[in-house]
Amino acid sequence: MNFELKIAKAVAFAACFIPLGLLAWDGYTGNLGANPIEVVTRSTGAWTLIFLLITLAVTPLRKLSGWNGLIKFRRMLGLFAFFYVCLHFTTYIWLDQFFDFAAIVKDVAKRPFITVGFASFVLLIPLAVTSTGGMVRRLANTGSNCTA
Amino acid sequence: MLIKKPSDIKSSEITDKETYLNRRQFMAASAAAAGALALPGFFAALSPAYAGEKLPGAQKSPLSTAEPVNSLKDITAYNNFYEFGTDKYSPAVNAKTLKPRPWTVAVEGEIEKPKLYDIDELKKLSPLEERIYRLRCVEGWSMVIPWVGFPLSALIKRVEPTAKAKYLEFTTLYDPKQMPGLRSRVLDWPYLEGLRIDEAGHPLTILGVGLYGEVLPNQNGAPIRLVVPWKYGFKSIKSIVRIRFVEQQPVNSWMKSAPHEYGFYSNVNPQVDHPRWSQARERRIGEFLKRETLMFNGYADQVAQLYAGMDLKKFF
Repeated sequence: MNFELKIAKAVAFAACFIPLGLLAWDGYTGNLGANPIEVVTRSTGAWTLIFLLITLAVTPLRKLSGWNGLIKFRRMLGLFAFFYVCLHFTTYIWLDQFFDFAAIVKDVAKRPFITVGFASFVLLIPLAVTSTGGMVRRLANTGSNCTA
Repeated sequence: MLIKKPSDIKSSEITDKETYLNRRQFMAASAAAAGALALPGFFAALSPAYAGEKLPGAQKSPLSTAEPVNSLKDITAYNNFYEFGTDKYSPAVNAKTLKPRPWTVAVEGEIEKPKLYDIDELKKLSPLEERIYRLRCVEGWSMVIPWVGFPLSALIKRVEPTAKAKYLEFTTLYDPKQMPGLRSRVLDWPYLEGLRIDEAGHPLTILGVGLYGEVLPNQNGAPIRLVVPWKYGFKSIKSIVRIRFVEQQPVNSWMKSAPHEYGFYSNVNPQVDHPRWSQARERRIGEFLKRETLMFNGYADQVAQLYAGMDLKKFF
């Protein structure tokens, strides 16, 4: 990997932490409103979706702009989507429901948006797991789509 | 730098007092309009309600709870008031266009003494009391609020209901010029609520005119609202313009919009779930962990007898 790419990736990496940083800052300064857990849950969920859309936009953008270098950022962006969904999920399980698993199961069944969210989280797991260099090599030429 | 002499500045250039006092709300409103997704600094822009007129002399009441009271900041910045936006942060920003003065409340229907009351007249109807009540929203959060008000029973006594009066029907102001949220058809406006006459006359039921010793901020339902602490918060209708005594059970707005989800009685009941979520627990604003929801919001001793023999799953 050449030097310029390393810098670009480092900058992008840092930039992807900004939403979390701002949320943490607001939490520290007491600026998350009356129901901070609701705001943190909504924020981390929204940023998951945003990163997911950015990741999916890489390929069409690459085709439109002709800039093939974009592909080198896709794995990182996708993993950040997974990072934010993990934060979102942890916030829900821990801060919102405090590990009350009976209530959680009931919630997943009762609230359609939680059912969909939970299903999306489950679907993202194999994508994250198969994103490492080793996994990419093992899955190469198998015809599997699970390679970044 | 040329410092202008006062006569150089046209009076038309002076920011009007309303806008100046509400400049933070104005900026936050722009952010809200742009669909701020919990962007940093958004909440810092929402200052709590500007200091209102004091309501001195409110007597303490044995009906108040001793639980810790929520902060003025939380009470005035987290409100469901769909006439000013459908999220809980918009009313604090948008409700500045509500004009709580002059204000009248039409009391009419099956009564001997119908009258159009001026708000100042209503506030003097009965000695003002401080009532510190729990408020439990149907959504699953709750607060403890130090209301200032007087018992609704004092008004009922004054107007002399006839034998036909079985229910009270309350109506909120409907004025698209003051309430931007009315453009949304999320509810069938104007907002309507109702109580059985015995619920209305219960000692706990008050007409609220203030909180924290001052007049109600706009986003909390200025200048006069209902507070029925043993029912879900949407029954505590805000900014009342009409109270009608009727024979038939009124169709309250939320029941009209989704009758399988919201009923007329809407008593706080951890054993009866909302179709889409459990009502067994609640988040007390300011607390970290959720807490158990209490039957009738903890007022069972005072109100359970109103519903003796009633199937509360059917009459939810």
